[in-house]
Amino acid sequence: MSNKSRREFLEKMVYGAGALSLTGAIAPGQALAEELSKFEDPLALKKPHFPAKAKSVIWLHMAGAPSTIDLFDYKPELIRLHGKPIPDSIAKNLKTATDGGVGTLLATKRTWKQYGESGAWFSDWVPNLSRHADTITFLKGSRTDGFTHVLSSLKLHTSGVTPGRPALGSWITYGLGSANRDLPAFVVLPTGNDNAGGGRGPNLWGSGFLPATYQGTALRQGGAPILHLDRPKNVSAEEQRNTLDFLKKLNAFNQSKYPSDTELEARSRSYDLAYLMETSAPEAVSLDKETAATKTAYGLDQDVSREYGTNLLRARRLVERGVRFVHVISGSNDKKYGSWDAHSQIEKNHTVMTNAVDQPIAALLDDLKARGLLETTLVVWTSEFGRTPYGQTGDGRDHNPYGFTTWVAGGGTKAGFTHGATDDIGLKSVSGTFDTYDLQATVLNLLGLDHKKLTFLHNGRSERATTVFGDVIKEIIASV
Amino acid sequence: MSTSQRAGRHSYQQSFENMRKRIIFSLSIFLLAAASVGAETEIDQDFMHNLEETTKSLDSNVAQGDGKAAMADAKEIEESMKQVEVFFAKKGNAADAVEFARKSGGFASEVEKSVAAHDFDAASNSVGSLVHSCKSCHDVYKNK
Repeated sequence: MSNKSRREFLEKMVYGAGALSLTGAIAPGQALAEELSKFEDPLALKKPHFPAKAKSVIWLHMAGAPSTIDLFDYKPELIRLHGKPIPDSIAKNLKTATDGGVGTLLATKRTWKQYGESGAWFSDWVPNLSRHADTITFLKGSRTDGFTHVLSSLKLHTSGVTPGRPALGSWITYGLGSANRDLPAFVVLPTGNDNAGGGRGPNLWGSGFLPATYQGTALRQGGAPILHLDRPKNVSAEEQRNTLDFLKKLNAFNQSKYPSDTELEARSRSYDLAYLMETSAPEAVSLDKETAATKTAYGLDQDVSREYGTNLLRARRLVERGVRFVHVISGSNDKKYGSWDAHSQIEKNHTVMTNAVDQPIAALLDDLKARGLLETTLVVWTSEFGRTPYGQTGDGRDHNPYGFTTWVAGGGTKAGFTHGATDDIGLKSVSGTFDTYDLQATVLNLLGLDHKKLTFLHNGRSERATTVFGDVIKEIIASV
Repeated sequence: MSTSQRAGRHSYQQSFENMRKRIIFSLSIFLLAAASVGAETEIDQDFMHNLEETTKSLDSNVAQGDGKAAMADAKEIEESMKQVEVFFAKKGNAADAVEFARKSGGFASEVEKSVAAHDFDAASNSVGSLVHSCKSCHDVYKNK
């Protein structure tokens, strides 16, 4: 700090009395008050572009890419053609990046049944989810770009293939504001420690070029999701508040010199949020008040599903309290099979992963329904890509961006409905084809936001969540 | 230096000068030839990257209602698509690429009309159609 600015600082501070006693009880100087009044609240509630069907999103990222042809996309032809090469009609123009070359077709070992009035197909790996055949909307024509987790996961979450773009949760918070100022509007709940081929990490929940206040807040794993919630024992509530108020004024003064520094602004707001979270956050993330039956339903009594189940139960509690976007990352506590990325041993891998997630997700849907929350909570089950119908390493499947399944539930979507399809062996999308941009456009639409009108000026360019792409998948939206 | 030595030196310098002129002439012909080949426009990664950036710029300018800038972008895209059409037509066995390029050019032209009419919503829809058309071609021909 230069002598001149130090002098200016002291001159402005002469309106207060002493450093520690500059509380809200003493009116700030006129100049300082004017500076403070200029700052708009970036988290203030904003009107959507049109009436919303959903208020919150629970985004279930299946990190590592599950094989949806072994979970939801039943392909009897794949079983018939087991061991044979890909049919020429399907292999035409196929670009692959499989190490060791494209293998022969690998039949699913699952048994399949149809469920509910919708007759949706579920494999025996997802027995609990099969109860929700008439709740879920399947989108079986998903496709994307890229063969690597890093790139495709970035694209799924930020619409960019290089880091630096805002996550969908950030756009939603930017577009709608916060519905509960005591909690972050965008929360991330990771499970397990496997890095899923590089397809998970802070780049997926960053605010990019949007103001930093819109970034996701990742809770810690383990028993203490948020550290240091308790005030130090030798500091009274009044002292803490006074200190924070003084800090706020100092930050505001400094910020007036750097109005474009959104990181400073976000950091300044984070103190207030942290203070509010002292009382609100423990209650929001604590499961003490949940019944034993609920905890059992979510799989908290089993090692394999305890962490993911805990995260989903927290997700329910967070959306109950107005959190806009909860991004839950799948994982397991298994040392060998920590994500869905089954290039080999798919049977063992997916047995572990489905045991980790199937029961908790089904319980979440049950719970949201029972509490009347499913209508206004959009649950999205998705991944960076699917897996190939041809084998890899003999007993695994490679990455497949050409055709896979995503599903959604609640939040204004058509229950018990399937949109789109892949070809006979589950390799490429052949109908109802949509990309990640379209999924984002649809999520925004369900929240009352027009993806083409939710824009932010960055370096002279009008940016939006879906870049230059994106069509709302109207077929899956329930009519009022 | 003797007269004969001076004459010999002059003759050497003359030869060198003649050779230099021949080299410059040959190089000029070569460069002209190379330039005429380049005038057919190489549809390479740089060309496509530039086209992609112009499309993003177009989308942004339409969103901001900047008619002048949007018109310039749309015209550039329309022109570029004509070059893409010619390229694939000459390449042969790429009838679908020719069609995609023709369609994309058509969408760019629609953008121009909408922008001229100050209908930026319609322009935005046409930009959407344009990028779809581009993407459809990329699905087959990008990195081919």
